[in-house]
Amino acid sequence: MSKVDFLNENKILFFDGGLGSLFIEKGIKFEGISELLNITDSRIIIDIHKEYIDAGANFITTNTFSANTLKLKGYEYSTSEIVKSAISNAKTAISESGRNDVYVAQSISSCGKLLYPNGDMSFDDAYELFKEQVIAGNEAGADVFLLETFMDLNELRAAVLACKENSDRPIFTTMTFEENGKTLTGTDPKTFVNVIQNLGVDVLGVNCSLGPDKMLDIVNEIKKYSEIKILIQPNRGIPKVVNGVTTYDVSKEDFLEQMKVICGEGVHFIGGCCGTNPQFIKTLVDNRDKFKYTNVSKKNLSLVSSTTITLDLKKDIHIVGERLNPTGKKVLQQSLKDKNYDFIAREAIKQVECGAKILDVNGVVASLDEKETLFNMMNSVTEVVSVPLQFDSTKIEVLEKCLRYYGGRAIVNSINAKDEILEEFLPVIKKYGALAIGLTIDKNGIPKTKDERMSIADKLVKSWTNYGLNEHDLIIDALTLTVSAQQEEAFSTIECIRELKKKYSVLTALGVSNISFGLPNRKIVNRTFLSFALSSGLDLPIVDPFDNNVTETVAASRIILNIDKDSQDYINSFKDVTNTPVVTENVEMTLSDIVFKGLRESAGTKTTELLNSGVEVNDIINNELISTLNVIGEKFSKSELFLPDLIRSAETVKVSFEILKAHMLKSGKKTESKGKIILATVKGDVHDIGKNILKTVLENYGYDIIDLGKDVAPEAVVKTIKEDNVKLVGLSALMTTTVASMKETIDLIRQEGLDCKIMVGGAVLTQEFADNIGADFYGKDANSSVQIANDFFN
Amino acid sequence: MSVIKKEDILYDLNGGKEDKELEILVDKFMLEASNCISKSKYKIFDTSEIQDMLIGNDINSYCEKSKKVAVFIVTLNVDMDKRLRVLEKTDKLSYIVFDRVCSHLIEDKAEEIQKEITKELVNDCKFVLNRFSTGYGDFPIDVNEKIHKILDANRLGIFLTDKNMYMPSKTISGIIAGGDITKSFNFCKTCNLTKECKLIREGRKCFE
Repeated sequence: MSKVDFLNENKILFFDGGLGSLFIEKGIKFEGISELLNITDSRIIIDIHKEYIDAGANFITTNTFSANTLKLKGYEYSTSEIVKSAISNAKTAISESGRNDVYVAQSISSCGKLLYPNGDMSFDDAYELFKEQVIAGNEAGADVFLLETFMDLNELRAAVLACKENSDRPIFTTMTFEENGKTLTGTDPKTFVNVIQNLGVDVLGVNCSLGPDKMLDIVNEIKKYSEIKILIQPNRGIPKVVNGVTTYDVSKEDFLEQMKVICGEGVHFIGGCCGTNPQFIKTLVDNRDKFKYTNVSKKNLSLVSSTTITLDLKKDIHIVGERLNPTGKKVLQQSLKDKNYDFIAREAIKQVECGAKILDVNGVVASLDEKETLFNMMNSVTEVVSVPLQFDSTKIEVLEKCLRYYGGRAIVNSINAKDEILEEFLPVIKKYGALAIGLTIDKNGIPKTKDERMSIADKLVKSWTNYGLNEHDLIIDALTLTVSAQQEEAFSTIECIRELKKKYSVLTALGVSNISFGLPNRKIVNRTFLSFALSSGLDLPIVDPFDNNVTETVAASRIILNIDKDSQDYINSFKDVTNTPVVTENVEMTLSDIVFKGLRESAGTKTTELLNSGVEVNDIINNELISTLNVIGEKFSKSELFLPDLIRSAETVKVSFEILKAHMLKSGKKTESKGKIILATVKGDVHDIGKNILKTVLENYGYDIIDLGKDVAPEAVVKTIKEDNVKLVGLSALMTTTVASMKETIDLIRQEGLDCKIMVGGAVLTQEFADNIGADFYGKDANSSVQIANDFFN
Repeated sequence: MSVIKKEDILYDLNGGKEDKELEILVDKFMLEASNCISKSKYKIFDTSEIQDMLIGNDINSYCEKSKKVAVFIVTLNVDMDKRLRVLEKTDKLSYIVFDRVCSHLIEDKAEEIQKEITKELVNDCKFVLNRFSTGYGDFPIDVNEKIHKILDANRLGIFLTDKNMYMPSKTISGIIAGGDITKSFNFCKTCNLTKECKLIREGRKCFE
C-alpha cells in the first residue's frame, strides 16, 4: 500500500462511525473490554466493519481503541495479539466486501493515565505503550495509524513519536475538545495544530465529545492554521443517559445538515464517532457532492506554543525573559547547585507577571551536568507557567532532550552559520518541529559590518529552507555589539534588522543589554537601543522583564507601531500610575514584631536597615528570626495561633532570609546550613500540602531542604540520601493505602544500611503507626517536626 | 450553583478568629473558584449488581438492607491543581487558603450530586443515605479503580495513579444507598478522625 494512494486523492474520503456505541445499539454483550472480541468473537467485528464498508466508508477503524498493555492488564491476550487480530479482522472484511479502495486505520488512543505534570505517567512510559501498539500494527499491515480522542497534547506527542520512530506509515491524529473549545487539559485547536503538524503528521482533526453543531468554531480554528489535510469525526450530538442507557437524539438527516455547515470547504476526511452508525455514514457518502474538496495551503505563520498557549510572533512584539540564564547570576547558580528548583519556578512566575511572553532557559553552570540541569529547569518552569519556552544551549544532546520532552513547540537558541553546526542541528530541529534563532556568526566569528552579517544571514536562510524548513520559522539574531568598544559598527545591528525584514519573512531576535557594557547609567543606553531596534522590526527582545525601562519601552512601542489597538494594553498597565512621589515606609517595629505579625512587605526594609546599621547576619537570624519562630511554634502547639499565622510568619522570615543570603553571597560568605533534610510525599500519594508547609517552616530554621516532591519512589529517596549524604529524611502520606509505600521506603533505606534517620507525618499517621512501620520519629505537625530536626542536628 | 460559605472556610483555617487579611483572601479565592467547571457522573444499580465493589465491613454495613445504590464521581478540573502548584511556589498563605476553598468546593459539588441522586432514588426507595466515599472507614481507595472504570471517568478528565488515587486531586467518588426499610447510619463509627473532630466537640455531626 502506498502512502500517496489516499493522501494524494483530490476528493473527500470517508471514515466509518461509532463502534462502542454500536455494540450497545446492537445489544452485543461482552466480558471485560470490547477489544477482546477481536479474538473471542471476531465475526461480530468483521460484520460491523463490512456494514461500514457497504455504507461507503474508505477507512475502517480497528477495534483497538484501548488495546495497550496498561488497559489489557489482567486479561489473557497481549497488545500484539489483540492488535494483529483486529487488523486481520478489518482486512478480512475488506476482502469479503470485494472493494479495493478501503484502508485499515489502526485506532490508538490515550493510554489511560495523565502525563506529568498534571498526572503521574512519564512521557517515556507512555511512549513505550504506544510503541508496542505501533510495532504490532506495522507488522500486521495497518495502512494508517489513527491516533484518536486524545485530551493531553504531550501524550499525543509521545504517540506521534512512537509512530514516526517505529514505522513509516501515515499518521492521522485527532483530539477531543470540550464545549469551551479546549481539551480537558487546556489545549486549544490552534496550539494543537501548531504543535502536531510541525511534528510531521499527515492528517489532523477533531473527534468525539461534541456533536457537529457544537464543533463549528473548533473546526474553523483548525482550518485557519492547518497546512495539512483535516479529519472530522463528531459524535451524534451530546449523549443522554435515559434509564441507565446512553442515547443520542440527532437524526442522520440533521447530522448531515450540521456536517455540511462545519465541513463546507477545507475538510478532507469525514466520519462519525460515538452514536453514529453505518446509516449515518451512508447518508454522508450518498451526499458527498455537498462537501467541497479544496487543496491544503501554506499559511506562512510563525507560531510558538506551550501546551496551552500559542503566540503569533509576526503579530506582536514578544518579550523573551532572560533571567533563567545562570551566566553572571550567583544566586541562580547557587540555587541550581542546591537543586532548589522552587527558586527557578518563582523566577519564571515573576518574569511572566512582569510581561515576559516567552522564557529563555539555560542550564550552563560549572560543575553541573547541563543536560540534566536544563531538563530539570524545564520541568520546574512548565509546572507553574504556561508561556512557551526557548531552550538556550550550544549542545545538540541537551537541546534534543528538551525538545523531545517539552509538550509544546519551542524555540532553539541557537544555531549559527558554521557548516558543522547546521549539519548537526537542522535534522533535530526538523524532527521536533521547532523554531530556531540563527546567530550571524560563522567560522570567522562576529562580523563588524551590516553587509557581512547579511551574507551570513543569507547562508542561514538558504541552509534552513534547503533542509525543508519554513523561512518564517527562522529567527535571526543580528547580535548586539558594545558601543563603548565598537562605536562605529554598533549601529550595523539595527541596519541589519531593517534589511532582514525587507528581504526575508524571517523573524528577528536580539539580546539588548550588551550595547551599554562599560558605560555609566546603562539603562538609558539599553532603552534607547531597544527603541531603535523595535522601530526597525525587532520581534523578540531578549531582556530582563524586571527592568521597567525595558517593559515600558516595549509597551510604548506597541502603541506607536499600531500593535496595541486603541492603546488598551498600555492604558490597562499604566492607568494607576500617578506622579505622586513614593513615600518610603516608616518601619518602627522590630524585625521580631514584624515576623510575629506576618508583615511580609515590611520585612525586607527592616532587614536591610539592620544590615546597614551593622548588625551581624547571625545576630539577625538568631535574635530576631529564630527566636520569634520559636514563640510562634509554641503558640501554634497550644492552638493559640493557627496555620495561617504560622505560614504568614514563615513567609515573612523568608523575605528576610533572601536578603540575608544575597548579602552574604555578595560579601563572598556562604550561609551556614543547620543540616540537610530530604522531604518527600511517598509513592502513590499526590497530596503534598502538609509536606510543603513543613518545608517552609524548616527552611526558616536554616535547614537545606531537598524537596523530592510527591509520588516519590523509594529508590529515588535512597539515591538522594546516598548522593547528597543526607542524615534526616521526612516522609509524608495522607491516605492509609499510601502508608504502605511509606513502609516500603523505610524498609529500602534500612536494607541499604544507610546511616540516616527517618521522620514521618501525615493525616492518617499516629505515633503507634509510625512505630509499626519502623520510623525513627513521628512529626504530629510542622512545629513538632521542627523540634525533631532541632534535637537531631543538635 | 455553589453555596460554599466564607465563615465555614475561615473557621477551618483559624477557628473563626478575626483576621482581615485572611477574609480578603478567602473572598478572592471563592470568587476565583466560582469559575471552576466541575464535572460529575453517576450510575444507579441494584445493590446486587455491584457486590464486587462493596469491600470492607463499613460499606457492607452501610449498604445493608438497601436495594439500589448510586455510584458517583465528581471532580474540579486540572486547572485547580495547576493554580495550587503556582501558589505553593509564590505565596504559601494563598496556597493554604485556596486549597481550603477548593476542598469546600468539591464537598459542595458532591452535595449537589447527592441531591440529584436522592431525587432520582426516591422514586424507587423510601430512604436514601448520605454518601459513603472511598477512603472512609475500611472502604479502600482501591475501589476507585472499579468506580473509575464503571463510570468511564477518563472521559471526565479523571485519571488514576498507580495507587488508585485520583488526578485531579480534588476529586471525590463513592456510593449512595437507598432502600425501603428506613435506616440511619452512624458515620462516626467508621471514621478515623473522631478524636480530633471539631464537629463532635461542638456536639454536631457531619452527616446530619
